[in-house]
Amino acid sequence: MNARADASNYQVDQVAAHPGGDVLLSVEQLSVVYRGLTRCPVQAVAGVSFSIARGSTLALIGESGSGKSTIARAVAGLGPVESGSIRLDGVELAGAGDRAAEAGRQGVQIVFQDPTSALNPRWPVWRSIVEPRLRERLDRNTQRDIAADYLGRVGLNVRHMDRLPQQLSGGQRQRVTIARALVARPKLIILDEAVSALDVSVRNEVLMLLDRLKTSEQLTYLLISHDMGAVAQLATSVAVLYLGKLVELGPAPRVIGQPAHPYSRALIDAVPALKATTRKEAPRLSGEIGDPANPPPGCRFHPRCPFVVDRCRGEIPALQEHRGALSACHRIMEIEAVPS
Amino acid sequence: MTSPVVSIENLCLQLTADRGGAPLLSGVSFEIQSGEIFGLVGESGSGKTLTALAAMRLLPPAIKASGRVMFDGVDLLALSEQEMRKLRGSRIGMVFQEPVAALNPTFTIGAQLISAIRAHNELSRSKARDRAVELLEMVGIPEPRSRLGFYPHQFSGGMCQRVMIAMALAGGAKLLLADEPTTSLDVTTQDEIVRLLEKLSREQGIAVLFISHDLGLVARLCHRIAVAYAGELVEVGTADALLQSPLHPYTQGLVRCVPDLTQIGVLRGGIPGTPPMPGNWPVGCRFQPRCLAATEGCEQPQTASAMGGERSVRCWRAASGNGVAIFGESATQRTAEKVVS
Repeated sequence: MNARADASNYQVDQVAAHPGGDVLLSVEQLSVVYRGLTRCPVQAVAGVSFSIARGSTLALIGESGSGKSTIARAVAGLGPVESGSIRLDGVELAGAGDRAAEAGRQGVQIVFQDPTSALNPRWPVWRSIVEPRLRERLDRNTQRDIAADYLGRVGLNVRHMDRLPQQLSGGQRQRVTIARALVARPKLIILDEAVSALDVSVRNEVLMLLDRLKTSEQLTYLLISHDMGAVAQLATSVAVLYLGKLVELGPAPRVIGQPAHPYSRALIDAVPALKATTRKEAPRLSGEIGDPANPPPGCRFHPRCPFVVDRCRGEIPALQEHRGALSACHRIMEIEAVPS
Repeated sequence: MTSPVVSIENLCLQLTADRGGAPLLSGVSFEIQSGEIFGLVGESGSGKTLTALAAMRLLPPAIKASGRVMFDGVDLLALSEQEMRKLRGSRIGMVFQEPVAALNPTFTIGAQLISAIRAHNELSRSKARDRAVELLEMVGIPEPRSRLGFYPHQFSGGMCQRVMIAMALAGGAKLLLADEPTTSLDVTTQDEIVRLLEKLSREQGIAVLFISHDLGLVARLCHRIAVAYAGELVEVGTADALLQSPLHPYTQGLVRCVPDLTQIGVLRGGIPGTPPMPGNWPVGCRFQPRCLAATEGCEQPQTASAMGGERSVRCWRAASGNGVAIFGESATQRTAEKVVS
């Protein structure tokens, strides 16, 4: 029914060959390096390419230190970009500073994990919501009308207009930050762990809201989450990151339902979730994610991989098509054939 | 039948009168056997952390407790502070959510672990050091002897939590209270910590109270689970029973919130409304304002009804036999994978 079943838009080459088209966001060879004064430079993201089709949801998953939030910040213009390109609707955002990038970036909004710290505690709800349009110098009544309109869209109502954030529950506060993001009329909303801090019973309600808004407001989502329940419900495609590199990228049913890369398999298996009972036991991981300042040579996952061979230690694996997705593993064919 | 390691009987907590006197926990009862991992699941404000703090006698002075917490034949709530202090960290250990914050950043892991050991055992420094190495090895820290000289910032969150578990068990604990011990960790690390707890409990017969908001995680680890809502236990049962046929409407809603990786792209929905905070509990059934099956009779306070086996439920409609399948999923056959080390 949408891009979910269509594997073609995960093909990096194809995206490069057909800029524009149905692709809203295209990220190519993005690298981010953090340079401190005392530490050696940390390459948090190393040559990551992906694209998001208009109206779909791409989830970035991986452990802390995998670079998922760094990518989100780069796309939102909140973090540095070392090299590579970030294009939203054909407009290049990566060369920060110039007017076109600024204008393009208005199409990107971000919703953070903790709504309490994302809202000014001394501003009533309506004022927070219209904040993205303050520069238009609208009169107060127009502003309040806008706030009322958007409160309705996120499942709140005019009763909440004049409340302070502390008078709302966590779920309601997150709805306010979503309303504020919508007011800017974005094309892309980055959901950076947007439901992770909410109580479990409230979380799914907010996911329902986000799904509804995607259609009604014609949105596209970049979802950053460690909550595999949220990913399974919202994502149309999934990118798995490890130490700043993509290890697997493809449609959600393929990557979450039938992961192929050893890291994806281990990561998804570690999630306490209801799973198909016929599934093969995934390899267990040993050790912890490495240091991005000093990534291992070859495949960055090799020190933890149960299938490691000599080739993995020296040669960086490229993303290659495998079962309808892209996987970066030298041994993908062999390890998939062997019942583990 | 062996006697349980800990038995909580009708535990009630209330703010003192000068703080408004709001009830925080009402009539919580459960017991944990040796070698059993008992899960306590609930959302914010449900009273799950207060239950552990009350058992540890770590409540702030503004909260007064009634009921009994029987541990080894004595009521912990009746002990003097001095007697309680002897138990804390020796026979009863506790692990918290933020392992990095729980360790002192200015002392080495070894210094902190050794002082915990020597607080409860008459050991020389070198003996305590050997014991520390032994403990670190037990919780799966590689090269334990050299790691004694490390500072907490040199350890990852998962390693710090292992150290905290080692410290909690340093005095030979029979009961371990684990309050959201994996919440700030990555899922892969969470999985390892959970496997470690399972192994320690099985091998050493430690009774574990595992507190979490994550029903999926608890079901994976625990034998029995209690579901807390607004200061009450609304349902108690074995993990499989609770997951396969949740009786209480709230449990049914929680089960629906467990990630289901067999259904990609299916929105599962949550529970309308928000969990009530202490002081604002509804009269009658406390879940009633959010319950889609609420009807006449739900405005009465609910009592827990035994449902046979190890099952009890605090909902008169569920207890009446016909049950309520509000979310239409009570018959589905799904189980959480168990941890097998």
